[in-house]
Amino acid sequence: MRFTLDVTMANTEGALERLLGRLRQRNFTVCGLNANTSANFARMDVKVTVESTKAIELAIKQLNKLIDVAGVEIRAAEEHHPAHHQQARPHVQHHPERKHVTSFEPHPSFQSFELTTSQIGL
Amino acid sequence: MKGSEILIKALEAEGVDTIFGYPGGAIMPVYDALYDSQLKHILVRHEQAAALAADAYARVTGKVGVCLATSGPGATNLITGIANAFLDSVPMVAITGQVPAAYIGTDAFQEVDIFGISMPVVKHSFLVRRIEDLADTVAKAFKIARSGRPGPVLIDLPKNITVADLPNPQFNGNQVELLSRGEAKQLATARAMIQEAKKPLVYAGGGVRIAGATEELRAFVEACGMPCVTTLHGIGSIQGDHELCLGMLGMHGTRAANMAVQECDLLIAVGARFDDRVTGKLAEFAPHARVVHMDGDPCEVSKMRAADCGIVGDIKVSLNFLHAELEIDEWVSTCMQRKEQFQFKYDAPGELVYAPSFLKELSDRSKGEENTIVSCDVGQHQMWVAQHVSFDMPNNHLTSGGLGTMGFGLPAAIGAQLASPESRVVCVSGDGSFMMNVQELATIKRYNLPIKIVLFDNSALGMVRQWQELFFEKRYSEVDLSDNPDFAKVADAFGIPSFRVEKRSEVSDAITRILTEEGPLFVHVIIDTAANVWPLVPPGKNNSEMLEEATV
Ligand SMILES: Cc1ncc(C[n+]2csc(CCOP(=O)(O)OP(=O)(O)O)c2C)c(N)n1
Ligand SMILES: [Mg+2]
Repeated sequence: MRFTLDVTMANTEGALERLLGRLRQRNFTVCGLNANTSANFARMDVKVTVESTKAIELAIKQLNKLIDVAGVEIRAAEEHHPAHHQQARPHVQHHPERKHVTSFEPHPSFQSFELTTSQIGL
Repeated sequence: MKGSEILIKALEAEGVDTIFGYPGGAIMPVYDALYDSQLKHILVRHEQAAALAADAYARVTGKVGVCLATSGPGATNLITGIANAFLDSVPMVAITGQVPAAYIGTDAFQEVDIFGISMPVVKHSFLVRRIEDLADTVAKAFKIARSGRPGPVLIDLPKNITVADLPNPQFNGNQVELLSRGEAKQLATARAMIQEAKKPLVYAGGGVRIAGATEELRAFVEACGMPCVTTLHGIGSIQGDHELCLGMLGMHGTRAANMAVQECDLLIAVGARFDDRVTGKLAEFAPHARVVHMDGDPCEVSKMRAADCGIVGDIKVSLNFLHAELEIDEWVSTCMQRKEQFQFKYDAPGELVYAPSFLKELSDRSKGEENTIVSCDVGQHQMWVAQHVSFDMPNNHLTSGGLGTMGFGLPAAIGAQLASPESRVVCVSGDGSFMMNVQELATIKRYNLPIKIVLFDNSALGMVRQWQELFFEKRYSEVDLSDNPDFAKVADAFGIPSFRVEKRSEVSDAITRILTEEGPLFVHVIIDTAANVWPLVPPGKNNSEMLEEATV
């Protein structure tokens, strides 16, 4: 399942990192993110879309445990459609932890950075 | 007032009297302020030991432990100790020096992003940007560390803050936020479930100690007359020799405890978290039971096993609402009969010292006026302590349960002895673990702490060796420690009296010395390298599939 959460949090040092780290470590893959601070920088409003086989309540409880988080609400829930999904981004489903690495074609200019073992002295 | 002085004052306002640390460049202004302060600073010989000692100090006193280190390597050395406190829910404030704010982000000398490095293993963290925020940040850190489910909090303190001046700083010590009891409706549901149950069982974890709910747990168990099993961290929450206590459950649990869990029809988890070492194969854990799960942390309820009734809130209060009179004589006598039948045996053949017997005798003979605290390291000896030493209070058993940190034992004993100078503190270590923080012998010597160290030397990383024997076809890979140093000489070199025990016949006298000598003492006990921890539930199996020595 895919869920979009509205998170209201205090904009303290590291707040957004904590939120993202917590989601990652608890096995919720972030697939969309929008974060804005209030005019005085005190608050941060985050809209985050996550995908997981775990119950979304686990993510909500975990986020609520963060000291900065004032509230978490489900904004949208979307059934996960593997077939359709797989077509669009073949590796997301099977290797969520490697999806970007494996599904991106490197830009041609990246190839100039490839080193052979002889170049690095092995 | 200087930032460094504000820090000291703020710590004092929180009731801190002892801190563990190690100096260095970025934290020097704080050490300069310490020079004039009443705070007792304990100089350890590795920052990891500062964090582990602070952890044990917190477990024993119930206060927040404090450790202090410099930036860069000092800060990274703290990490294992911070993670240890995180996984065992121990309240701690770790303070690190940082390079001056203007240098942060420039890869300055001894600059690391400790705020970022520590993030997954702290409850919360602060980087102090303005001296005006310092006192308040310390107060907040203490409040967060000890409220709700406790844990470590990091304060990263750039040097420009500690050297800056602020006229008239304000100190507002903070109050602890109390958890409330679980909701009335849930409590009523749980009570009804307890009343209906034919085979109810209490499964008590470390949350009982954390909530200070030892008395309430005992009252509940006795009022209901139902049997109780404990986790590694639940040991002592009900007295080890209480008739309704079936001992520890899980991988190295007692047969009586594991069989009760597999058969019960109601499992009341009190401050326990269905850890994999406890459940074995989760899908087959307590297969016939409905679950009541009480915890202070909402994240724990239904995390691993769906609860039929979750009670989030202060265990200490909630337990009082669950007393019931039950008619479960048959179930209780089945459990008691198994407890009797599957008692540990201490008749191992041979001349070599049998560690379980040693610990049993130490446990039996140390009962008396004096309170005894046992800290241990990680491995087979840790499990033997859990199995064969009987504890009356959970704070007396210091063990690294969540992280399983080899090297915990010695610093933990130091923290415990400083926290409770009148207690007898015994550190039970292994030849592998001991070397991880061996330098702390110097700390014991310096402060003349009367810690008794019992080193069970099996010339091996025993627990790993046992797994290789049982699950990796006896392919013993890098577990041989037969070239260990002469440990008794090592202790002597640090100025700590020592002696060796090689034969069973020497055990009694050795224990007498442990119980009667005044100062620190190091006892090097040689044991059989082939000895294993029994019983054992193989990984991935369910808890009814216990292996015994004879069955292997
Ligand atoms: C820091 C750390 N490294 C590695 C391990 C893995 N480990 C668990 S028990 C163990 C062996 C411990 O040996 P020893 O202290 O001699 O205890 P014994 O099992 O022999 O009683 C090891 C290596 C660990 N728990 N902690
Ligand atoms: Mg060993």
